[in-house]
Amino acid sequence: MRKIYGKITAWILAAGLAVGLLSGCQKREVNKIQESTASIGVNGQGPISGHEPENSGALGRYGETQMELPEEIKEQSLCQFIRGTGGDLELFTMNRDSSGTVTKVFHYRYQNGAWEKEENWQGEQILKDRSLDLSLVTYGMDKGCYIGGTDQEYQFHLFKLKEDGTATELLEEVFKPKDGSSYGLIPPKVEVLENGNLLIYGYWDLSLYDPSGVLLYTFAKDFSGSTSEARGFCEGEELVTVQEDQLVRYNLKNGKVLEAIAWEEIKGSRETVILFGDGNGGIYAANETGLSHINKGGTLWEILMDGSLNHMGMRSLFLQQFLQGDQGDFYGAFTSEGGSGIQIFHYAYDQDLSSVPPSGLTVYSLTDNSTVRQAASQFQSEHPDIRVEVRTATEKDGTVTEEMIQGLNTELLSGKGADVLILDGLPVDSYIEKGILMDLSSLVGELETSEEMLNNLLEGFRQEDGAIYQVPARIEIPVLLGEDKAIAAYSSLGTMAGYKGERPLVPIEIYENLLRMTARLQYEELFINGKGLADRDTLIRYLETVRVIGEASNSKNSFTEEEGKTYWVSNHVQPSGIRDSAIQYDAGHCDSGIASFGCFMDLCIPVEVRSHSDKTRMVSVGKLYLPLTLTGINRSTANEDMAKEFVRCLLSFEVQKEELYDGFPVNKKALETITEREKESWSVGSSAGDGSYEIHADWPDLETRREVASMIEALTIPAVVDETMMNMIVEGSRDYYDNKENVEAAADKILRKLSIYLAE
Amino acid sequence: MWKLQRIKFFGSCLFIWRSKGGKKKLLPWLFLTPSLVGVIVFTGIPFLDVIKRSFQDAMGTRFMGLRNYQAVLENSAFRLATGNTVRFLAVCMPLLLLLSLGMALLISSSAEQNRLRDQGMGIFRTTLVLPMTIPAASMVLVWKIILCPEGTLNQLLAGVTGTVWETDWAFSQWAFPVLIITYLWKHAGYDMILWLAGLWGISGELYEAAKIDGAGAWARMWYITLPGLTGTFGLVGVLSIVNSFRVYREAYLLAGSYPEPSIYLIPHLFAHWFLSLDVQKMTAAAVMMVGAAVLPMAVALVIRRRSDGQ
Repeated sequence: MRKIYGKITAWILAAGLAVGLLSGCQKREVNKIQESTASIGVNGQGPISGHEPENSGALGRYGETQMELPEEIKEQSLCQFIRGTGGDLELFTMNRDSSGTVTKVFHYRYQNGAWEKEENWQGEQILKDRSLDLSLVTYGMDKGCYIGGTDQEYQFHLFKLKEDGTATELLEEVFKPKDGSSYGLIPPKVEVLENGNLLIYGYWDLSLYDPSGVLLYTFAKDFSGSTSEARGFCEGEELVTVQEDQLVRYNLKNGKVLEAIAWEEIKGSRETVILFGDGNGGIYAANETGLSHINKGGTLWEILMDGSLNHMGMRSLFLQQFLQGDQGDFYGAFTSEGGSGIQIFHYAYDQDLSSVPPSGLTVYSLTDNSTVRQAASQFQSEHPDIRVEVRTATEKDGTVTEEMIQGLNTELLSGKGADVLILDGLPVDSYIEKGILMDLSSLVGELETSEEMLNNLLEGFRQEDGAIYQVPARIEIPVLLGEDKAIAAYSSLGTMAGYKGERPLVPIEIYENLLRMTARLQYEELFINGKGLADRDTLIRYLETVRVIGEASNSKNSFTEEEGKTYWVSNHVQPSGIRDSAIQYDAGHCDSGIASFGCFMDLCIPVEVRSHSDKTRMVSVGKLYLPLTLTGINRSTANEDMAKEFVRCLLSFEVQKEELYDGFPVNKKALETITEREKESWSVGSSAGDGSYEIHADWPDLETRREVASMIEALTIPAVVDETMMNMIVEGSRDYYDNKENVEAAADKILRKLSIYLAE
Repeated sequence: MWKLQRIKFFGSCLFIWRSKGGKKKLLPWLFLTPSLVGVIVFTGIPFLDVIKRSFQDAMGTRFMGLRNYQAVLENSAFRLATGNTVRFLAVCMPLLLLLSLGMALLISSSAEQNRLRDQGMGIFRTTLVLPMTIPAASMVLVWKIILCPEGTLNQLLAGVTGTVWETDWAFSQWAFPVLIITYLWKHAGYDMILWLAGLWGISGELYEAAKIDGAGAWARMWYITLPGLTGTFGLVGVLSIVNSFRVYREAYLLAGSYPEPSIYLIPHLFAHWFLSLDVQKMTAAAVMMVGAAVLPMAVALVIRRRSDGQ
């Protein structure tokens, strides 16, 4: 009998072990997330990992609807989007003139499903009487309305509005310039407590004053400098803000820290986050990753909205305010760049929406890419039933390691790689050779036929057999600045080395940047299709040319901090080697300046420099351009149509017209649109630390912008230099530039390694 | 009795074994089963896939015949890496075996002659084994400090010779000796322990008898010590060869993914092939390497069995 019991027990244990092992092999992660989100009873939406979204059939998610705004608001800038003392949504907007001065303030209230303009807002008269530019409006917990603005001396003034139409100025001394400074504090945010005490958000700390101006407490916080980066709120007797990269809760009565909350998991790549309370001590955090919530004393963030599924993750929009409604709903106010282009979205829980869109598309990129993020948001807004998951391999520092590429390769080999690949930094030639990438020639042909694209930029990627495996979504143009003689010197390695001018051809630089820059500028002479140097003699001429131009400008392998300050140089390596040197040219340090234009803002200073002399010209480097955001489709994707649609979206006018400062568009209409876009209030300036040089430049005029646009339309040669090869050249030539060996020895050292690389 | 009854739970196949060879022959197989299953699942079956892929293109969609093998054999990078790996083995193995054996003999004879007290001996042995326990990344950092142009070695040489030394030892023609020294430094202590175990396994009575018979130190070494260490030699040799393939870590951390050609080893090549998704070349090379390692062993085994049979 005992034996039978023993056998039964053994079988049960064996069966338990087998079941345990088998169940351990199942995908549990997704279910766990769904369970956790379901338990909070909000939306069941969470960060889903993996290639295929889990279509569990679960329903419930926050839906997003855009609120209709009065037509006139399109031209206005956002000042404040707040809930009034009665709970109504209120919107304060303003018009500015070309100098940025506020000319008119508008006040809207949301009533009966529409925005109604309230004429004769009391605050406007106060501002007019004192010639102030409005910068903030807020309602205190004491139900009072407070406004703040700056005078012509950029000094901030804070007022409490009274019912009789007058106003009382508060904390006048607090905002005056102190300690010999030219400017006083312009607070990004002010909060007024029930007892009338005022919490002033400074750049480095927060200060609590009583109404008479007596400082009660100062609370440490991380630096922030605009209304969207105030990053904090107070509720009851507690203040929550960001300090040392975590959320900190202070007690306003005794200044003590109550708790510190980690928030790494919900931080996006942008600094902006709107923090607000839930009324019970909990914290809401809204940013590009979505809306998250943590209970008081809790340690786990609940993700209520996934920013990648709505406009919160769109790179062209900037989150300015996020408010909680009365029905568990939320409102988000966004602007496009510069504070205009106001858009307000309403987020309400919809129990009929599927928790996770039923189908999915994965986009892989080694580094974070704004245009891809923009396209993902755009694509998702056009296809609400598709979830686009943008996966980036690197963290914020953007360092790419071989392990990351090996990880991707493992996925590709197993047929589970992403549907769309952003190929910047990846071994593209090898992927093409192995048949990883899909031939996009039909898609490109279709786009080219539509005459919507800059065909000259796409055609540079056509293979000899007519196939196209990658297309750029953005480009940069290397541009030369100087007189005819200097510009002519860039025509070959020989002319660069043989240049004889009053000053050096290029400014002082680290040799690595000179090598990288010359590799791009003399791309056609140096390389065979970007891979493989032409021959040993060419390599020797290349190294010698860089040495000649480098020695003329006293370039070195690296500089000390002191040398950096003296000679306007740094040890920072530019991937393309091109550091904007228009200023050095203008200051007379060299005979030519080089720049790489990725947006019209990059033109400001070079164009201003060109205007200083009739002889100075600004030309592109032959027909070369630097392709960026190179995009391909994984040939083994199960979502071919969807992936192609995503690439269409990436290259579409809607995405390409957004200026995200990561390159010029490749869409013809988008280029035309941004060329015609005026930004009169934009200006940039630069000066030497010792005051010996100063330059101020405005937004380039239309004619100049058109000139650059026509340059782009003539570019046909993509300069893609193999990064492994470039690193070998840089490393191998270091001793040569340090005078430790001759050029032949350096070239042989490089070629020994290069021959192994090419033989592999 | 209890063990034999439990065997009945494992099914009929074991009964067949039992009927052929008796119950006692089952026990070793039973104990071997977990590791055998592991080896078959995690090494055997994947290697079959490797063999299959070695005859296909990179993505496994086309049959390539022997073209992958041909491409690998014609690949100069493969030839360089193989040559360097063999050269490394050929130089390192004898050096390591001799050095570690010498150290073991010194310690053993010192212990015998009570020159070092037991406690002191323990510290000495531990110190020699310590390099094995230091993580490669930390170790390489120290080597870099010693070997860089401004490093300790150059300063030392400058002090001795009175001239300026700026040799970048890890990135010059000295890279190969540097790699050998780092390998010996790391593994000599471990092999010494293995030799010591072998030495202590030789009966002291043999030495005493030899001494009485008038045998000198050299004769005792030649006729007692070395024959007594034959078994240990096999173990130390195999472990040293296995460890030598791990020297890639040091080479990679010391000189990067494209080091001086003299220390470009097979793992470098494999890492680059994987980066560029040259799976077909990797698998063909892997099959050839396994073949190169297994064939001599198989031949040796056959010869040994034949000689045993005679």
